[in-house]
Amino acid sequence: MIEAIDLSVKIGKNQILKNLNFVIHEREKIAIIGPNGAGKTTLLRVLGGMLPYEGKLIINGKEISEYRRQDLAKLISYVPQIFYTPYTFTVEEFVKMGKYISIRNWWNAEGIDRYLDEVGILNLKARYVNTISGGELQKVLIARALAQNPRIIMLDEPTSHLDPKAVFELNRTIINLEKTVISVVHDINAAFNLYSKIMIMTNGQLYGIFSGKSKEFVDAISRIYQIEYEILDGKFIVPKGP
Amino acid sequence: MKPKFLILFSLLILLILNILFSISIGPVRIPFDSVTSTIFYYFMGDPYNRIYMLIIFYIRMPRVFLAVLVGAVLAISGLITQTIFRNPLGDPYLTGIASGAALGASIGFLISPFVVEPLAFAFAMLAVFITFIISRVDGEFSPEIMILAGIAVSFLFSALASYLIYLKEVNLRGVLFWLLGGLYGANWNDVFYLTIASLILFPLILYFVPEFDLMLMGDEQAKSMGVDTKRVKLITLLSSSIVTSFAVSMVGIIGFIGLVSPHIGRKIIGESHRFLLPASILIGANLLLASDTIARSNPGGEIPVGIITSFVGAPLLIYLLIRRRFFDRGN
Repeated sequence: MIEAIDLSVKIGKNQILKNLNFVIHEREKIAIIGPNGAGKTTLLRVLGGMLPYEGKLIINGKEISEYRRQDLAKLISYVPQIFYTPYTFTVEEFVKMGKYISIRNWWNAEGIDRYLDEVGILNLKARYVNTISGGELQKVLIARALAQNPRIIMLDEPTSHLDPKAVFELNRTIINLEKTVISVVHDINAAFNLYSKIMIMTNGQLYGIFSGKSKEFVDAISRIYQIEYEILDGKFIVPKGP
Repeated sequence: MKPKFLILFSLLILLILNILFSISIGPVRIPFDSVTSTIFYYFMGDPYNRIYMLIIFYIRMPRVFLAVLVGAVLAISGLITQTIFRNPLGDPYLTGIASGAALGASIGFLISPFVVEPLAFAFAMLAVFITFIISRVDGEFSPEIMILAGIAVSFLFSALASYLIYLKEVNLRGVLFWLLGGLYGANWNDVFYLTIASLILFPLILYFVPEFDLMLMGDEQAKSMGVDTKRVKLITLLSSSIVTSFAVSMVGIIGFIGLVSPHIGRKIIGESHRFLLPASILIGANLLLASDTIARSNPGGEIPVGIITSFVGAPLLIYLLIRRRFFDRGN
């Protein structure tokens, strides 16, 4: 369980997050949505223990700032937004790195094929990470996060570099994970259909937390983006009008 | 044997041959087989050839072993710097060691030849500490700031050294030769002390081999995978800085080995530090030893080895860069 009480983050003189309060339960699927600059990535980073914060941020009964790095990594893994690596590791080596937290000599790790299979990239195993496409790399990063075997997995726009088929497959993978998932998404339809809760953020504040597939969510994003949306067939969110 | 172990093994054989070759070369040319026989019989307690034995054990061997050690130290420090800073231009002197040592040595030359080494070491460490203190952000070294801080500290210490050399009647040739680096002063004491320092500090660096590959992903990624980046940076940078300062105080500023050895290593053995680290060490040792052999066999008198390292290392790196372009094997 993650609990934030009056969580605020300052970077330099800028107040990036202001007084957030929320609770995330085990195995919930949370989408974070909001305009650019709303503080979504910062929220993921502070949850990953990368940033100092004010207020309380408690995971499993303990302040994040009090965790040792290796203990936190057993609980949370973080798939970053844009990640390019010029280094010549194979996909296999790269995914094995996720095992570091359980086996310090991670290159001896075994049984990573199932993580590759889970995101559908078993065929890329022997390829070098600097020679694969952005979408493929995204999947490699998710496989690595899975290899870390955390309770909570955080993803920053996981489908942003993918083609429609890959988006479909990856979304299905993410939703079927038996883990807590916290995912920054821009696709309001994906958020609406796939996630159990949706946190809407604006200007570093939490605008509200909504259930998936709820009319309240659609009304809220209509106000925030100032576009009138409606629900079609209970599935699609589309702007009103012709 | 796996290909990567084979490469490491070949580099080791090359180093042994390189050592024997270097011992045989000099004003007195000792045939290759006499080198091995002299060494063999020395340890059997039966002098094979007294003259050869004296030359080998008291003149050539200390110098050869010092070259091997210093080459290894510079290579390992260069690799650490490149990895921690994630910067292909990283070299062991990035944190201000060279300029600090230069200032210390210049002061030393003003006072007495006997204090050149200790002062060079002390000022090199001073420069490192200033760079470290400036680069601490939220209790952790920031690579971006450290590169710039290192440059600032380097310029400051260089300026002070230049001012001192300009103002006072410093032994200019001595200082210049020292700045360009050379192993001409090698003796068993140097070899002994540098061996001790390496035996203490290399394990502290080698211990973090599993973390180095993860550090290449960036601090934030490394942290999210569970790496205590603060600890890795502090221990490895400090260890490599101490042992480098120590080596520099003995042989002066030998350039290029630290920069080029890890790059050559990457081209022949790949990115994983569990192979790259030993490979870089062996390459550094080989390169510096070969360069020093060339430097001291110049017919017109010894050339500063720093000049030769660039002449040997630069074309080698250029060749590897071009080869990669024409025959890309994804590695």
